[in-house]
Amino acid sequence: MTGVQLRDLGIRYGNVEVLKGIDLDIPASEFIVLLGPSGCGKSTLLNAIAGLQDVAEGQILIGGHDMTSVEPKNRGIAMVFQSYALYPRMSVRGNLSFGLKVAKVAKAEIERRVANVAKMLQIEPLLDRKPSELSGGQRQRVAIGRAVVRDAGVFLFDEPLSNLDAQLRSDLRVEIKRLHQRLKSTMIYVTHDQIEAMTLADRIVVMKDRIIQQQGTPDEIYNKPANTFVARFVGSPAMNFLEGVVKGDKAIVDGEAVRIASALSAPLVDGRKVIVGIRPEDLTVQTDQAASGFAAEVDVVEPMGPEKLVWCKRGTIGLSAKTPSSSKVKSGDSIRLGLSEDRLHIFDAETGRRL
Amino acid sequence: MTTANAPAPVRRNALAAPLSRVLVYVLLIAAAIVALVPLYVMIVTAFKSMEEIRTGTLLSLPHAFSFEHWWKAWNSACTGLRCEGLKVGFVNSFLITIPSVVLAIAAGAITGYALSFWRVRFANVLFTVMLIGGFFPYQVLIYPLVRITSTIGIFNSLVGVIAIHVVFALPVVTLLFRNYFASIPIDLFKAARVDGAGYWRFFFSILLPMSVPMIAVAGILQVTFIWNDYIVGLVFGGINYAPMTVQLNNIVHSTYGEREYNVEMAATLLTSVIPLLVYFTSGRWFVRGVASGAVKG
Repeated sequence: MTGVQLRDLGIRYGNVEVLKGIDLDIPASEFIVLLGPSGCGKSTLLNAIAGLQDVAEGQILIGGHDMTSVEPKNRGIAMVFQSYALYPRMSVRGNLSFGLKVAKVAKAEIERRVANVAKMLQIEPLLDRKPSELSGGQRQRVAIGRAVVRDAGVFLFDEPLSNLDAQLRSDLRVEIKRLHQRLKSTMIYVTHDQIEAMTLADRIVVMKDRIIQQQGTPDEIYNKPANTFVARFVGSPAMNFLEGVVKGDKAIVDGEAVRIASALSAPLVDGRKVIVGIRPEDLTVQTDQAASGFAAEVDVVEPMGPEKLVWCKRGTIGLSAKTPSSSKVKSGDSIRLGLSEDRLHIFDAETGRRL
Repeated sequence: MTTANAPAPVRRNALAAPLSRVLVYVLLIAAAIVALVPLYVMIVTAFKSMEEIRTGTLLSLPHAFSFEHWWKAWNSACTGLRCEGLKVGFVNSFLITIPSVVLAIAAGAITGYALSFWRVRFANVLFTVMLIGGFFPYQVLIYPLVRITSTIGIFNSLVGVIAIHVVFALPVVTLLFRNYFASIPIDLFKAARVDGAGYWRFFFSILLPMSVPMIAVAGILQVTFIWNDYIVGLVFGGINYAPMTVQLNNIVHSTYGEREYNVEMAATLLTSVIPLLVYFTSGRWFVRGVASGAVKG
């Protein structure tokens, strides 16, 4: 099994620094997701690992070997692209076997491997069709098959599900996860979709502005975001942020005192400006005016099926909360939002860093 | 599966705004007539005898169809000192056109490929220079090219004519292929690299099979262009490799005796048979190829 290490990796386009000082250690068999908005450099990083992007400085090690300037085909990798990138004039069989033919694998062996993969991905009936005769989901299945057939130690996925509709996306997501469980290869997966990241990853690397913001298990990323960017980027709808000022073990937020001590690793000095973050599911919608919490008015209610999303206003501040679908709140209701104090996230108001 | 009481689809095209439709047709038919009358006159004149031509009934059909003038144009019309007809030029034009077109497309496709998929240093500068070269009226370049070809010893030879044609075709063919390749997603190239395909493997196994419409377009353009060329063939071909167009000119511009309009018309039609054939048989490809750059797939 093959691990991947990136050591102080830097990439430049001309004089523009695209990535700098990237250090990443990906153990064998790990499913790692590079998550970030477009333009954060995640795809560039993936291309560099594949050998499709020149590296200005640093090292790429795959399976312990320095692969920094090795041709893509010799890196022991396979790659799946967002646009599928199937060879249009070749049949599915031709697509699957092309790489093996180039590598001069014996004909019988090619046939055996193609048949295996076709069976695994249930694309056997499609083998003699052209890509133009396939649906989007089938095409991506074939593209995944083309990667699997290479028998590579490392799989690289570049937003493979972004071109598919919602239903297919969740189907194929499960399939990719199943594939990982079965092949136990190292998988590096680039996406801007936080749900894909949460559901697939053993570990998520959140990137923004060419810098790694945080790496950790989905649980860590979700429950202990390292800064306001990660907190906002992961989770739907996004975390609520409230500005506050520290006073003792509390923060004064929009005139109300909120106990923040239990969310802090160390006490803060009075007068320090902080951002108090709370996820929508950690806010309780209470219709009882006597209940403790933030007074607010319901703006919009979105029924999601298993739950309802309540968008509230408190003066100029917008807040979102989740409530069971049995809730009867409606637009215009005056409510009180209860905060679970142990579920608060406290960030420095200036740096945005978690405190 | 329409239900019985579903309303019949309204056929708007058939009756909507009949006046403007009539106008459109009148205009189109008029334009077609204007374009086709010279061709018609050429065809009927080529079948007429000289006596009939002298009566001056330009538009009438011939009284007696005669292939005699066609035969003469092909076999024994005088093109300068030799009187062997156009057939010599016909063969020469083939000898010039086929290698020129094949080489121009091969060179243009490979150059366009290098410029679009491989990060060649100064690719844009090279391409711009090439395009500027393509915009020069080539009458300007004739004299230097004569000097160059004679210095390297290919002036007045088949190789010389072909080389000049390939050089002149290169900018436009490269442009066609470069832009066509630029519309192909770069992921395809990356996927092939991961699969181990190198420079030529990607070109031949993946790119070329996708380029059939563009090859057809470039082929049609170059066949007609090179077949119809006059000046390159005249200057660089010498007497032995004068293409059909040069021989046609010699027939039409012969100054002695009576002008044989019927032979001249027949010769002209014979000369334009190949480009016409190319258009009629491959117009479908031409339209498809031009459109395929705009619409993906």
